[in-house]
Amino acid sequence: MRRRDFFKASTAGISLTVLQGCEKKEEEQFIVQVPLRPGVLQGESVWRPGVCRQCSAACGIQVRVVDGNAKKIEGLPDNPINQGGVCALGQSLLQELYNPDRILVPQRRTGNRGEGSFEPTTWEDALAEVVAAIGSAPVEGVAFVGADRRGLTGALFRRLAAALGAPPPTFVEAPELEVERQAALISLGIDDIPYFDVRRSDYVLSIGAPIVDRWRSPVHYTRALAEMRRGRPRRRGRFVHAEARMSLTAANADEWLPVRPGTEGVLARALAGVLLSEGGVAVAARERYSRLFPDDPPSLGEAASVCDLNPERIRRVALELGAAENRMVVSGGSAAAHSNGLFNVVAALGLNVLLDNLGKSGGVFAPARFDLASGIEPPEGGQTSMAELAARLRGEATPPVQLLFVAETDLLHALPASWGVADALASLEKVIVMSSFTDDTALHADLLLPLSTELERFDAVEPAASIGVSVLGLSRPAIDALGEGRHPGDVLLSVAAALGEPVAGQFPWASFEALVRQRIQQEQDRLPGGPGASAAAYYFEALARGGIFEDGAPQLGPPGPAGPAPAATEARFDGSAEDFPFQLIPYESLKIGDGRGANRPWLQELPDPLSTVMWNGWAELSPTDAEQLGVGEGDRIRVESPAGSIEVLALIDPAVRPGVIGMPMGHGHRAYGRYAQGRGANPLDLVGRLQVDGTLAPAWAASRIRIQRLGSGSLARFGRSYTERGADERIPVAWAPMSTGEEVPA
Amino acid sequence: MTRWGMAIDTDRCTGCGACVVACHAENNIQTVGEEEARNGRAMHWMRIERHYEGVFPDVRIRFMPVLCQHCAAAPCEPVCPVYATYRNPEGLNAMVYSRCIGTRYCANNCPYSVRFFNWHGGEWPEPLQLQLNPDVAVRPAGVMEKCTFCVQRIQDVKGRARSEDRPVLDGEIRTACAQSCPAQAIVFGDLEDPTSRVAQLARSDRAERLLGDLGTNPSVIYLKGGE
Repeated sequence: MRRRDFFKASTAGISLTVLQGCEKKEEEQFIVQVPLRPGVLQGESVWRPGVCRQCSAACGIQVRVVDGNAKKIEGLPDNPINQGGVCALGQSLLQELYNPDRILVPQRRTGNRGEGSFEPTTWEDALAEVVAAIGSAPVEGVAFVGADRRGLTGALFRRLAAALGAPPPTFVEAPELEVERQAALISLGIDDIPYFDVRRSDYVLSIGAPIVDRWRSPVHYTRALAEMRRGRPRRRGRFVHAEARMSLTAANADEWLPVRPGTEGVLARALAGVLLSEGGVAVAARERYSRLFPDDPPSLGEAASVCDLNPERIRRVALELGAAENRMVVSGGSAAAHSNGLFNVVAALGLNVLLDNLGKSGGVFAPARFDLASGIEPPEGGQTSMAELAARLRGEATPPVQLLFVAETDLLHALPASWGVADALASLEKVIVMSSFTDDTALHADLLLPLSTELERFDAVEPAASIGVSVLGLSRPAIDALGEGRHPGDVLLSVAAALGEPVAGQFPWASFEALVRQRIQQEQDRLPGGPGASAAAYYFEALARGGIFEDGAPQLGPPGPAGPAPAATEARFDGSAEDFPFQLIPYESLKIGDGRGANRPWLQELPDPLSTVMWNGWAELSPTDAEQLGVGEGDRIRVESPAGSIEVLALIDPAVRPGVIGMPMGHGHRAYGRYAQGRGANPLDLVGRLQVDGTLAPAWAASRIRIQRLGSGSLARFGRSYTERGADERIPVAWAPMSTGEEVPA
Repeated sequence: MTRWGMAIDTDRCTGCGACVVACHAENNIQTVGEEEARNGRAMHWMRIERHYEGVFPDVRIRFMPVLCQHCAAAPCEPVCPVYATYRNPEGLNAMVYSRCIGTRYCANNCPYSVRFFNWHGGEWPEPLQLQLNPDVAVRPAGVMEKCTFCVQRIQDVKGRARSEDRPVLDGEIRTACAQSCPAQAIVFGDLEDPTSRVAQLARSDRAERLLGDLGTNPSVIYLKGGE
């Protein structure tokens, strides 16, 4: 438009408005606009509810949409999981949606496998290729890998595998989950992650569970901890945390017990010893506990020296725990990731039996779920564990894998490098990956199928770890899709339909949404607010609300110990103490989670709360270890374990236990776009094949390492480093009392 | 009269950083990349300060979210040669970007280090620019920027209240940081209204102000943590 035309048009517009203004009511004075896109009014701002898929907690979110574009993610106040809060990772969903490196159309490999060169293709051709690949591979050689173990997508994976006669699918999740579930089964009688009622507790002892880091439901447990402390007038709960590393959870504890790594179970047994001898435990609880541990606990002195803690301190914590009205022990995390992890967590969770808090306010509850997935699970069900899948990929277990179908997970980044999955991919017939980005796994794909984000698609998710009441998060497209990405459930349904009978007949749903709608309708009578409501109204109201939520407090108590605890064993480590003097504790990064947040500038530039490091990974050394090694702040170091070696920058941290090196996971991507690629290192490259006894889970906290200084480097930090500020720094502010009305004296 | 203020309960705060990202998203704060972050040019209007006391095993860590304190006697204001920063009638320490000539005197004079100089202007590789909040100006290179107490949200709620012919309700305005906080540690409201939640919290025994002895009279109140 020329300048003159512009003035003409605007003058006309203004006079029109003014004239109309004379005769019309105020609300009719708005200029009628041409929609940018059908259904989108310019300048209109609306909030649309949905569900977050950035981790398995499945918080409710709402997105602000202006001009058809997503502008901001906030928590959904009605969802009982997060109650309006939202974490950094969840908010960064926008930068997954609008990421400049996002894959928007299906891609087919052009160069050699692993080179990462692709050409665009159509969904039609891509799906035909998937169907042809499934048709030509022997059924037992097909391996499905997903992320949604308990949900509807997971059930569809299981159903497809069963219909084909292929081995059950694998689900990639935090590896210690398998241990935590098994421990809950032994100690509490539930084959799932229990719900810990932190909010109503007066005394919470965590043995290894990093409840406010990226654990089972970070937003929910952060809120619960805040409410435990400040939500009840004049009743502040106390939180004690036992973990070898100073995690965010340890930093937020009222008391930190820096237990020696791998001795968490001994600490739990020592606490039990004190409770049994002087804690006034009821006879019934004592008897139930003896089903778990028929033997006497170790003596306090002996246990204290094993755990490297003061015996009086252990005794005091046990007595405080026993004396509190509502008390609870929560466990998991790195305690579950040692070779004796199962014993550690069983011993810790078993304390709840002794404290007699199962199903009681402020205690431990059984998970509650709607379990919509159960209606479509095939009778044989089951899953292939990550370790079994890796063995099959390496050709060490039968049946060997020929066709690998991976959806919504970066398998190569999530599994220890020593498992040899990357090398195994080279010899497969076909690798099909569903991902929004060319991540480490997608780099090896023959066919790369784009995913839609949760803002662009219909979705239905129940949280992987229950919050004691049943929650189903629902979302429908909040904005127009940016590309051709699809929901993995829809892709599985399309593949099943294209495979023809007898497979197709077992998937009678036109879309994932149709499946969810049918399941909700079938179960409506047992869903909250369901009985008596019309099916359509109930469904659309649920969509408009962002899900179906059960009200009230958790109710279901776990039944109690199901069997004897595994024998107490000493933790074994990969590597000898002489050659590898340090113990490695990897942990999930608070910022970028398991790594999926690494490609988002907001999260990369967010200073890590403890280290204040931005844009990189690091290894935490205690000042004494750093001095002995001659390593300075920000120096480049080589970290070597029997399984591998990586290069990383050193961070000197006064809160680190000497002899222990913490390293955040999630960094060290080989691909995954401009913001993530080649940044930092992945500590899982150092983790060997040692497994947690009694399970197939990797013992990822059981590696010994050695450190060698390579040269100087520098970390981007928002705060000052330990070397700059010295050891004795106090909070550098002066406090003064507040009085609101007061103005400053002249 | 209204005086917007904020109470931050450090006994609730876990330092998770959700508020920092919420602030970036709401206020179109650009990221600067690793090299410039190393040079101290990252702009976090809201930051989590982490304070260590002691060395292992007797070490204690405390977190404190720090943002512009919106001082009643703001040291940053009188030093601006072009009056780009001033105290508005509702107690906000406001910043006029188009006036700012980038002398950085204000940042120099701020005892809380909450003013950030924008060295590079904005750059959002396509289609990342679609995330930008249309209610907030994207700052050009060469100006100072800082926390605004989400003035666009204040205006939005005031406008809505006016159109419904009613006063703004307590708790109706929520800054982006307060909204996101998983622990609900941040409360925003009118300090001059004695019945507002923020004013009640400000009268708590635990209430203190950051560097209170400087006489800056901040509008942000911290509630001390710990037992």
